[in-house]
Amino acid sequence: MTSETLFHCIGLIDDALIVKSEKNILQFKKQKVVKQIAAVAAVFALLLIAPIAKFINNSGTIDDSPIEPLRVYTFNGAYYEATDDYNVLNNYGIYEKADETKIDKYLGQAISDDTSTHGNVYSICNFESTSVLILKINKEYEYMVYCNNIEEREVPIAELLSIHGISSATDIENAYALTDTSEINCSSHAIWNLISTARYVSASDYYNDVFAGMSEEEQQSANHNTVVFVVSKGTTQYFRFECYRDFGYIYLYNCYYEVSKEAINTLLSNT
Amino acid sequence: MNDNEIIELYWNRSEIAVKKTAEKYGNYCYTIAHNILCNPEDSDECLNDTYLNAWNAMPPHRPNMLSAFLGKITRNIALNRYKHQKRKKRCGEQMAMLLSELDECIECSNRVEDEIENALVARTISDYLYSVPKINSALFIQRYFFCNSIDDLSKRFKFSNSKITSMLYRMRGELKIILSKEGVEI
Repeated sequence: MTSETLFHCIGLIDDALIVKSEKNILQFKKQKVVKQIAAVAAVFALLLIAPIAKFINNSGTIDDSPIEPLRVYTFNGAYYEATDDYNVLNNYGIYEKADETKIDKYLGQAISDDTSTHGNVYSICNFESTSVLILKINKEYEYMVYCNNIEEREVPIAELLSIHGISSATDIENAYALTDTSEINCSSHAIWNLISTARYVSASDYYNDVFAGMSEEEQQSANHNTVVFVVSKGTTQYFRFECYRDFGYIYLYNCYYEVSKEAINTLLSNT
Repeated sequence: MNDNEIIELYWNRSEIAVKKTAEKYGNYCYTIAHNILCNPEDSDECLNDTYLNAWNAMPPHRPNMLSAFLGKITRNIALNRYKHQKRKKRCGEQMAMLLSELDECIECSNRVEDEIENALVARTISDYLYSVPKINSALFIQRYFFCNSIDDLSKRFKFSNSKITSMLYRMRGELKIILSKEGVEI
């Protein structure tokens, strides 16, 4: 048989497959759009949480100052948000304004996601990770905080952890998992064993593996997860990921990673 | 106008059937032809031949899925025209690349299979495509039935070129094994 004959044979496949192939692309795109909407919704939720939290703290007064739009830059295959919000920066042990004295090494150029403005990126003196960097645009300095990697870029777990300065179990100071009803402490070694052996999978491979042949209702009901926070040494960083116990996956910073179900069970039973 | 109404027009030998087909499926068929032939004039001729073949086939044929029926006619006509072009040493670059990819699924043989064996192979391929995840099946068909380029697929599926290439590579490898197991002489 020649390739032309095989090509001819492919032309004889079932009509239903041909028609469904178009529908499946639309369905897949819809799934992706749902994911993107979910991401946008998450950002909005975060924006809403801040004034609500303030409202609660100030016993009934709402800060009605306008919410500033996100200023997102792409750098090194990831999205970073430029910010001067010290509520956020304090979590990384940063308390002072960015200026020339704070910069360490030149790392490259970042580009604004909506205005295409370029800026120089520097690491911060005595700051062990690249989760926060300094951006210099028009002689002005500001901080930018890592958000997540650009979709569909393969990000090995080691790379993701190194962004946050995590290279061993000893960097994990404290960890806990949230269930529907309670909060449980986790051992640093169990969490390190889980994340250090995680294998990157693309979103499409994840959907193919986990949701192939599942109805939408089944997907919704099966999609229970546990959220885990890790606080790393040095700078205090809240490293959060979602654990899909039934499927053997974790989801962090917009990426899916395959892990062993045993490792998840060990982590969540290690109270 | 829905597909059944268009098919009914063919059965009633109404020439409006061709006009309605062109309105609804003209771009769809043209794209298939152009993906194979990479030439606007040849693609237009191929489209006209598609309408003629559809006119001659209905009646007696009454397709369940008109789009797939027209797509198959267009593809066959375009493939025959391509073979003709190839004989004239006017081979389209994309098509040559596509066929060389399919070479990985088969071993060298000059024997021309008859239509019965082709139908069996098609059945095996269909079964294989039903067994893989929907998105893989869609990708395979968009590449090897509709003959879309890797760049087009990358845009449509929102995957990187390398991901598309590797998914297709894996599927070709699987298909080769399945065809061998099914005893298809390849």
